[in-house]
Amino acid sequence: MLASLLDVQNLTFSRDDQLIIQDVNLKLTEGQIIYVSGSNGSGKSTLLKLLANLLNPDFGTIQWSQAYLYAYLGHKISIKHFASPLENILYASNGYLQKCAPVSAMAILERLQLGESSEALKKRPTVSFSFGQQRKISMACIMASFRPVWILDEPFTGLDEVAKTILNECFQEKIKQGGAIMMASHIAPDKHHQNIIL
Amino acid sequence: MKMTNVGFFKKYIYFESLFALKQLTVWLQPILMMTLFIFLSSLILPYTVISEIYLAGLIIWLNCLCALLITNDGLVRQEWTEGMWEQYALWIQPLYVICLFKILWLSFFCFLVVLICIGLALVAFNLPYSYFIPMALGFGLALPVISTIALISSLLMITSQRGGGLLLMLALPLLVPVMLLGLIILEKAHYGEQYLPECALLLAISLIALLLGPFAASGAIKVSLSSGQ
Repeated sequence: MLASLLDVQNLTFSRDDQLIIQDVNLKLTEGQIIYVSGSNGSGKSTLLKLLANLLNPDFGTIQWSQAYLYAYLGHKISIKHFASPLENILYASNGYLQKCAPVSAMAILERLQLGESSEALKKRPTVSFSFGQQRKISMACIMASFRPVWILDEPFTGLDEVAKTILNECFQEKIKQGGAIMMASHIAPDKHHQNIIL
Repeated sequence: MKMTNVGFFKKYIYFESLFALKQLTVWLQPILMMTLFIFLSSLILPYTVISEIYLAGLIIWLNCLCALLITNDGLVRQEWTEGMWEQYALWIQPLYVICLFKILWLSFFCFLVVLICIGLALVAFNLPYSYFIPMALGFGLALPVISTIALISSLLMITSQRGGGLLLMLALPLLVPVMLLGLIILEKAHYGEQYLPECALLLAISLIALLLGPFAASGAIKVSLSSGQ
């Protein structure tokens, strides 16, 4: 039986007297992808921030099976602009208390196909890369966290079709390894995955 | 593979220093600002005013404080727009530990900037170089307080678009006692008196700031994150 990673009960959140999330219940288990979909302003990002403990709920419980299970990528790029992609990955993995060798970090970057020479990935500041490339670098930082759960807010934003396919492959690899992903996305999930509509 | 806490801090200090060196313009900005302001002051103000050690010290301290607050604010805002504070909140080390390291790191690099600024000010005001040590000592001991107050106020006002001016209005009055102590150190050095008690007092204030500041800063981060921007 697949282990439960997250259990959310009656989650409710309001801001400025406006109810944004009401009575959300969900369970996340190993090998599962949950898509959170909904119109703009429906509370997708807020739900993910609540799960990542960046916001405090008004009511309800968020129970992770153990501490430090997840890595989170929000709307912001979450990388140091003047540092190189390689330095960003090593810095992020250090923050998640993981020993990530430069070779492994380069392998992650090459997996995401940034289309740049390894010299550029080691030395060029990320601010000189395109928005799509920066999104890939921040995704690489999440991958280098080696945490079992990824909470991703619209990870496909700014990516071309090839990059979307590669990222989807990475997600499939992740869940095959027993990880789990929870993401807000406008891309329609296939029927095998759970979908939460807000 | 997991790394130890000691390993984390070693690498953290390495990366922060590397990143600081990579953004030299951020550190040059307060030096340029100070240089301009001090040289303008030396041209505008009559010699009788700037030859008064207390007044010269006041001008230097005020300039340095404004330059440091604006630099710190710029650094904090840059990390906010990059989304790094969100990530720090998710790191394994508690947020207040990260804030403590940020304060120490800001203090260290600002100290290097201040040393250059003091040197320039002494040249511009034609003051004796023997004032360098008491001024540097005053700033060195006060910088943890300055960095703490700058960090907290920047984080609290980070969601407002025009925080820079507001920051100066909020943070400068809080730094007046520290500035007065720094000026007393300078004045006592001028008259050849012992200024150890003032240094001890500044050190005590800095230690309190280092003890409590990181908790306040991590609270400020939570407040700013929950404001939803």
